[in-house]
Amino acid sequence: MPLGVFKVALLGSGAGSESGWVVEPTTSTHGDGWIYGVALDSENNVWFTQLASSVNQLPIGQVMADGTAGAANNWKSMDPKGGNYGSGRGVAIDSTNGKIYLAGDGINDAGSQYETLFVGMTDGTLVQDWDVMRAYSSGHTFFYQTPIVVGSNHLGGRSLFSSAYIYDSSQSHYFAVTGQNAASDGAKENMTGGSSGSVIRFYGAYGQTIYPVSTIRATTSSNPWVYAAFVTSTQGRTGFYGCQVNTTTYNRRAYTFNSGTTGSIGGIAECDATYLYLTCYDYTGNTMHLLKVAKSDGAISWQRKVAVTSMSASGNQYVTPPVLDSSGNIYVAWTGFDSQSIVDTAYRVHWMSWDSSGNVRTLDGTTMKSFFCVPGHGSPAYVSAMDISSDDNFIYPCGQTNSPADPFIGKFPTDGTGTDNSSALSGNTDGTYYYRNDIAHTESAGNMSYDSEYANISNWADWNQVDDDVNDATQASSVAVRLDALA
Amino acid sequence: MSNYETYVGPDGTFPLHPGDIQREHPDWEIGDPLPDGWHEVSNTVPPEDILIYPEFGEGESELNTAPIQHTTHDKELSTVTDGNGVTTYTIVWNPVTYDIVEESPPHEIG
Repeated sequence: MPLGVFKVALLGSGAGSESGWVVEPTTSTHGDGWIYGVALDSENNVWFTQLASSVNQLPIGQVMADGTAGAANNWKSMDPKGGNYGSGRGVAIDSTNGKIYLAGDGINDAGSQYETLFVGMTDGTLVQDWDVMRAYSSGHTFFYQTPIVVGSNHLGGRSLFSSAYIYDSSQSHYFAVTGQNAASDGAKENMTGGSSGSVIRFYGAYGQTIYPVSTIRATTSSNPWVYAAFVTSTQGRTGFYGCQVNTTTYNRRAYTFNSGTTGSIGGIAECDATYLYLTCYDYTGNTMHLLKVAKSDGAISWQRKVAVTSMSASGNQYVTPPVLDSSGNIYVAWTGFDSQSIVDTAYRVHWMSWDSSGNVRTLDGTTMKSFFCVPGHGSPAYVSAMDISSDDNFIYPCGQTNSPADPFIGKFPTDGTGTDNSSALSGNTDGTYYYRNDIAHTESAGNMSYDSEYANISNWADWNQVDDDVNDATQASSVAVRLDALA
Repeated sequence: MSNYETYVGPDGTFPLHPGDIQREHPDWEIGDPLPDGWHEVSNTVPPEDILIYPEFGEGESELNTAPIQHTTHDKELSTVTDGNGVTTYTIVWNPVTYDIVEESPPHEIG
């Protein structure tokens, strides 16, 4: 029996795969939108949410570690109250109790103003535990990539920390906010030591938007800090900002590209008590950047960059926040279009790993692995978030492929195995996928600059809240997980 | 010591930073003599951006005060060797001006 047929037969029996894979989670109620966020539970099952404007829902689903679909109650469609809009942006899981949290967007009753939504859930229970809406009274409010994290608050309890951006018509820009909600019931909490649900407000000049991503709760400090990464819409800054929880002690640090003023931000991860890692993409240099930077003053400790050969400046280059394993190794995935004729010119998802000193790691003989769909020369493919299994054996990037467009989650071995430079993956996915290690690239010292304490940061209390703004969850229909196994 | 510490490596790689030295010399700390082959770079603080704002004629709306041009600075390494054979390493900040264009939509409304 040909190997491909054998794999399909296994899938048909529901046996799934215990090794690496790529899956396309599908339902008839979630749409086929970009998977924007993933989080692993204690059993290394993958919870995900996705963009869902075609169905106006807050979707969430669960793919088991073996690539099969999770329990029916864990595939939920949640309809935001108010206007006809909904979309998932991020998911987080509390490692202390397994509770699941979703961050998404909705719209008000008049259909005129976007708002942010939080939902708290329990594994195996259909109806959500709680849900709340937060929004500014006179400006669109959105989440973007990797907006939410759960961690300890300053009182010893558990809180959600999240970052949104809000339109201010008087300044013709969006500004960033980072705030705090109780993990137990979603109650609005004071993050910056003020009152009325005080939050960080981080804002740029007139007409200059700041997009926040990748909220993290620092774990190595006895005085808890929360940070988020950002990118500006003009003047070419990326960086991080944050505050010591329940105080107005702030920090903000910005970096510039070596040339040009456009790029995208991946996110941040905590290295240790002193340093953060930061990822971003430079649209002018067509390079993905990883920096180790000091929390206190923003100083660059080291920086690396990767240039994929013949990369085009499409403006669709996305980078994940850095992900760390228990040995301190760093993993980053990113995407972009290159015109190397390797099976096809293609939008590809790449990933690489570095040790904590900034040495790129050679894994199974090569430094970069690439996942892509063929034909891939047409529409963009995206990657937006990634998680790592508790045993450090697999990374799980997520996003959307093309030709046809499908949501995807990858389960790629961190030892670099599983690539195949001679044939496509086999299984029952819609796409014809390749997972290879022969895409030409160079890795070298980065050339970004530390800039300054950029923009403005203050306390704010108008990210208002309304409880119970999402209808009770219903089970998703026609759940299926299509799977291709790695070599 | 500042938060702009920048170096040239033994093979001429620029810009490098304290962690790059520590990758090869784990015991080295800022303030210690530089290991052989490493060189400190001066003028590491970038100049402030220059923003050009719109000029409003009489009777024109002055509501939109967003800058229309932005001058930032690209860094270039300059090396000068004096008569005694001592080489100094300095960053030259070259101004580059960009038009500020309207931002794209806030994100994928999907």
